[in-house]
Amino acid sequence: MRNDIERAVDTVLSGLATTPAQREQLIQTALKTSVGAEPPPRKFFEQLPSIRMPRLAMIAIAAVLLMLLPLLPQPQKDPFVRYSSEDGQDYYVTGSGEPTSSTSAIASSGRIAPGSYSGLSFEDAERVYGTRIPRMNWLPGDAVLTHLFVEVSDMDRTVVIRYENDQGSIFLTIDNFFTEEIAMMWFPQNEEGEYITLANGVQAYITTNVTRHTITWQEGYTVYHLSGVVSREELLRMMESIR
Amino acid sequence: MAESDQEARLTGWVNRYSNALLRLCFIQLQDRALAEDALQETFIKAWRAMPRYEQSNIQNDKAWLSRIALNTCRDLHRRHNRWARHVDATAAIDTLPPALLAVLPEDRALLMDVCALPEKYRQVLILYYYQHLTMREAAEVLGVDASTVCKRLKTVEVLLKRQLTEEVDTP
Repeated sequence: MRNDIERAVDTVLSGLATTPAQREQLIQTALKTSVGAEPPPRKFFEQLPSIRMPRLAMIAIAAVLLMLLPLLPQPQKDPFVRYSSEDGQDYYVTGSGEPTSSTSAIASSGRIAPGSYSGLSFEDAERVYGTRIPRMNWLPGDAVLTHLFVEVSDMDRTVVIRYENDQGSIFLTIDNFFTEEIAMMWFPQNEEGEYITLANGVQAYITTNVTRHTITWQEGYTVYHLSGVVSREELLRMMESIR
Repeated sequence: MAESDQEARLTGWVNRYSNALLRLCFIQLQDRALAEDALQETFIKAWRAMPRYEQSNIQNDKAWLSRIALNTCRDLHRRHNRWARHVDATAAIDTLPPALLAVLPEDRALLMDVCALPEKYRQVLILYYYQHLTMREAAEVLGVDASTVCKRLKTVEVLLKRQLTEEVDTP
């Protein structure tokens, strides 16, 4: 088994290796941080202690909570519940139980059930997202759009757009939060990377990992995250082309 | 220890372990971009923790770095969970640069099976069989008992539906 696993990993992934230049970059980037420096303060939810308790106690607590569940006020059910049918289409069941296609359900109801939505056109994605999705008007090389999906939760709505060219992938993630305070929590604070001020006065944060540059910035309720195997200049040019 | 000695140690780690750690991160995250990010963060954390490393008298560099890498992968996976749910191992491996060595179909199938394992089994398999850690070292990396590592390895055998070609060491 040991030889099998080792051979499988080293042959199938033999193309996944660091070059001397990449190893030098790994070293130089690490050296830029201070040896013995404390890591940046952890976000609130990462500071929550992990609780260890005996399995029996956990089962007992779960049983008590389950018994109390019916006593809680029942939330109003969203009239639109998303499910995937056997034909691979996503349908939305209305209050009458009649399935409707995704486009007409979104257009008529205006209410979107929480979940992940993929395989949408840009127009349908905007209906799910709730507002116009900014477009990136400049891309390096012959990058093409390969994936587009939208995720809806109680706290935010997120669009992830992925492009591919010969050099690798480019991700544009747009997180639209319901309050500006929550959006501010997702912008990196006091990190080791580089902070720059954009022409419109917005502060952005840039990091580099081997050949991948990433820039993050916040505008009001929205946090943008653009990452790609591109040069820094190309990254900034893509960012500036977003409308 | 002088800073130049620490830099030399870091350089040694990068040169010796970067490929193995990159592949470990890729198997955990199943995304090349995230794996490269995780690798960079691993060495940044290792550099920052250099004084603690020197004081702790750690015997196995690779085990220590593997622990940092796995924790980094877990953090990255949490942060990028939205995207991570929409990728699969086949697509991730297909987008890698072409393999430099001849690949047997059964090896590719085995790697796919490894990537499809639940995380706790995948971790113990990679640490024990690929990183060549002992069961005690793997247990320390994962923060569990050695007997738990042993049980998970036996479960891996069942999940992969293969006969072990060598006996699993007892803790």
